[in-house]
Amino acid sequence: MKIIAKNTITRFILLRKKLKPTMSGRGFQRSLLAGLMLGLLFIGTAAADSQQLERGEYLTYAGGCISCHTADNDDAIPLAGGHKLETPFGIFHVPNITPDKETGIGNWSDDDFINAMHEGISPDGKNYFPAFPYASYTGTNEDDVLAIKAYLFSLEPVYQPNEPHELAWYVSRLSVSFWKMLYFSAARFEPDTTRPEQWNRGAYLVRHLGHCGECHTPRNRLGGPDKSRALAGSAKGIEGESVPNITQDKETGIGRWSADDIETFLDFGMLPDGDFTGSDMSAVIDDNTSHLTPEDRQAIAAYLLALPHKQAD
Amino acid sequence: MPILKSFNVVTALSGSLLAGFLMAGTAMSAETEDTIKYRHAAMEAMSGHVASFLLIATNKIEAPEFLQSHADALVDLSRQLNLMFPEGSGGEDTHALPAIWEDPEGFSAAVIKMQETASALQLATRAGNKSATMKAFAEAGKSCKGCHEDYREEHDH
Repeated sequence: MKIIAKNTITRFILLRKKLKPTMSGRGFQRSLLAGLMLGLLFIGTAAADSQQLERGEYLTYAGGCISCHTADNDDAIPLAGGHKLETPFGIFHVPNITPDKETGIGNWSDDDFINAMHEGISPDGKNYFPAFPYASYTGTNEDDVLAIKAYLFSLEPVYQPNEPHELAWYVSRLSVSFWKMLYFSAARFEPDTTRPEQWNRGAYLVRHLGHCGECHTPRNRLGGPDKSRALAGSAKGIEGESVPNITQDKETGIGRWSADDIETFLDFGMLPDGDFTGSDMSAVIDDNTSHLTPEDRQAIAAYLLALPHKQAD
Repeated sequence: MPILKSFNVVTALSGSLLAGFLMAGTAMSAETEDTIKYRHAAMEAMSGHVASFLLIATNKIEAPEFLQSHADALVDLSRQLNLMFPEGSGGEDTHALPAIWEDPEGFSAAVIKMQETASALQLATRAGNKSATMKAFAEAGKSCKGCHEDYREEHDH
C-alpha cells in the first residue's frame, strides 16, 4: 500500500511537469487526459488509504491499545488516556494517544511512532517505562505499526492532559536504561519457516502485537520477564491479580483445553466448564480478542497448543 | 443457702442466656453457610448448562433434543438469582463481592440483564434458528461476564 502511495506522488509530480509548458489545443487535451488520470489515481490512493485505515483499526484492537489507553469510567473516550496501571513499581497514568497536538500524539512523525513502538523511545529521546509494552511491540513489522498510526491519526483529537506517573523512588528514566540493557533487544519478528503459517501468525500475535507475555510471563524483582517460564502465569501479576498459566501444563495450565475452547474463551470469555471470566482478562477480551477474526483466534490457539508444558509457580 | 440458691439461679440463667446467644450465633452462620453453599452449587449448575448447551449447539455432541432443556434450565436458574444473595451472605467464605450489597441497583440491573438474555436464548433455541441462537448465547455470556467483572472476586479454577 505504501508503494502505491509513493508511486502516486511520483506520477503526480511527473504529470505536473508535463502539464506546465503549453496551453494549446493539444496541451489542453493532454491536460484533460492528465486530469482524468490524476482523478483515477486519487481514487486509487483513497481506496488504499481506507484499506490501511481498516487494517490499522483491526491492528489497534489486536495490539490491545484500547484497553490500556482508555480510562475506566463508562463514558471515557477511547484512546484518550487516563487509565491507571497500578503496579509494584508505582502507578502509571496511561497517556492520551489521540492525535491532539497538545495533549496527545498529534505532532508525531512516522519515525517518532516507529521509534516508540520498536525502541521504546519518546520523540524527545527519553526511554519509555516498560509498562508500555515495547519489549513485545518491537517484534511488530513496520507496515503494521504505520497502519496503527494512520488509524490513530484518523480519529478525532481529544484534549485531555496526561497526569504524571506516581512511581517508587528507585524507578526513573535512568533505571529504565539499566532495565533495557538487561531485558530489551530491539528486533523484528522472524517467521520460523519450519513451522506452519498458522503457528507463525499466532506467534506474532501472542509474542508481539497482542503482548500476552507482558502479564502471563512471570517477572523477577527488577520487573524483567523470566523467559524460561514464558506464559507460565504469575501468582501475583503486575496489576496484583493472579495471572493464569497458559502453557500446556494439564494441572496448572490449559493443557486440557482444545483449540475451540481457546477460541471460544477469546471470543466471549467462556471457560471450558461454562463459567465466564470476570478478571482483568475480561477487558482484553472486550477490547482486543473478541474483535479478531476467527482465523486469528485459531492462530493464537495453535501457537498456545504448541507451547511446552510449564508448571505455574 | 438461699444466697447460694439465688447465685445458682443467676449462674444458670446467665449460662443459658449465653448459650442462647451462642446458639443464635451458630444458627445464623450455619444458615449463611448453607446460603453460600447453595449459591455456589446453583452457579455451578448454571455453568454446567452453559457448557452443555455449547457442546450441543456446536455439534460436538449430537443431541439436539437436549438443547432446549439446557436453555430452559438457564432461564429457571436465572430467576432465582435475586434470592441467592440475601443481605449478610457476603464475607470471607464467598467470592461474592461487597459491591452486591453496596450497589443493589447496579446488581439488580445485572440480574435482570441475565434473566432477559437467558429468556432470549430460550426463545431463539425454541425457534431453532442456529445463528440467532449463537448470537443469543453470546449475549447471555456477556451478561455473565459483565456481572462477574463487577460483583465476583476472581479466583483460580
